[in-house]
Amino acid sequence: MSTADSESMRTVVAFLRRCSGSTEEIDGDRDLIEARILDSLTLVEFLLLLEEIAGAPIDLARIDVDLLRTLNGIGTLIADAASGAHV
Amino acid sequence: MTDDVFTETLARLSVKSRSDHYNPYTRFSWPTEVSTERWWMSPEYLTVHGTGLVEDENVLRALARQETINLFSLHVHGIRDLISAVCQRMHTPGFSDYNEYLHHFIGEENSHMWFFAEFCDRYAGGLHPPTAFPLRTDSRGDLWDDVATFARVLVFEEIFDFYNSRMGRDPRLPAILRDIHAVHHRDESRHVAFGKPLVRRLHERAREADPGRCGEIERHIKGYMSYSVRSLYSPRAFRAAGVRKPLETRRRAMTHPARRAFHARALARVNKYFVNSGILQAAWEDDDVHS
Repeated sequence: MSTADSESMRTVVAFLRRCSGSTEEIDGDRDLIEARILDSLTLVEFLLLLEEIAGAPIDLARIDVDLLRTLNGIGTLIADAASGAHV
Repeated sequence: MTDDVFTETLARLSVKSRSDHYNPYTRFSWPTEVSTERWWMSPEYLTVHGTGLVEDENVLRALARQETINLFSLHVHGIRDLISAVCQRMHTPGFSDYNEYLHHFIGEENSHMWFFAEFCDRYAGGLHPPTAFPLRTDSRGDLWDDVATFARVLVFEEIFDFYNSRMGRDPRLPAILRDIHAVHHRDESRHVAFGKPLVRRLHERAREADPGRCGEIERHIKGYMSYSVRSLYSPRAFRAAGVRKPLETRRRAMTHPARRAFHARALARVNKYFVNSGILQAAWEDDDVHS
């Protein structure tokens, strides 16, 4: 399983912190939905950010959406999209 | 607004809904085609207007078509979800005062969904797909969920009315589009007149039962206002219109001072209402769009 580079993940974490208004560390396995860091109102913008980072579209119908729940999952998602695994 | 005044308002709005009733399936004269030489949206309302990011008029006219389809698609997908939440509340104990008018509301919103979708099907190959949230979100409990549902309806209606009231009388638009916007504007004015006292009343009821969640609902409403603004900037519309670097252009347009002023104007009435009602302790600001 591949994962995104650290700069990409810093961009992701910065976005999530802005969304949640928190500056605390976000553990890689923390459930972002349960913690209300990511919600339905920010998801669209978040997916666009991931597409920009990956440089490729992310199709919700073709991915394991549970990957969006954690930073570790998001790292995998970005790496897979960038390598064309979802296309 | 006192209970008596609200009861009178509900009765008056129901009478008005009956007298203004129309058959959506026969109301419009659908032309064979809609000229792509005309502006499908007032150019001042395009998401790149005033930014200088797109100057080619052919691209701008294409964007006007695409952003009209995006607007109508947002309405269909958005109101479908919202009226299903309203349906779940009809004829339940907490909503017995509103049943009569809610039937008019849902009937009229069903008509709107039909004619917005019909336009897209006839002239644009269908709606843009919804951007559904695939993961479960937590409930705030019944009373606060009631507030969130009807506050979202109100934000939604106010934004659409900002567009409809202008497009319905813009002679640059094809007649069928002017007519659709004008009809929607007339219906929405009644829905807003209903929604404002209702949301205030629901907020008072929830606050009395569970005052600790006022801040949470304020954040949710502001988040929805920002989400609604962002949804006007459709990457799909940018791509289909031939806008270069669509995601980058979208981001730059959304943060441009001219557009931030537009966002504030589009949400001015509902923002003022939320503050004056004590539902928002501080007004929504455009900064929230970019957070």
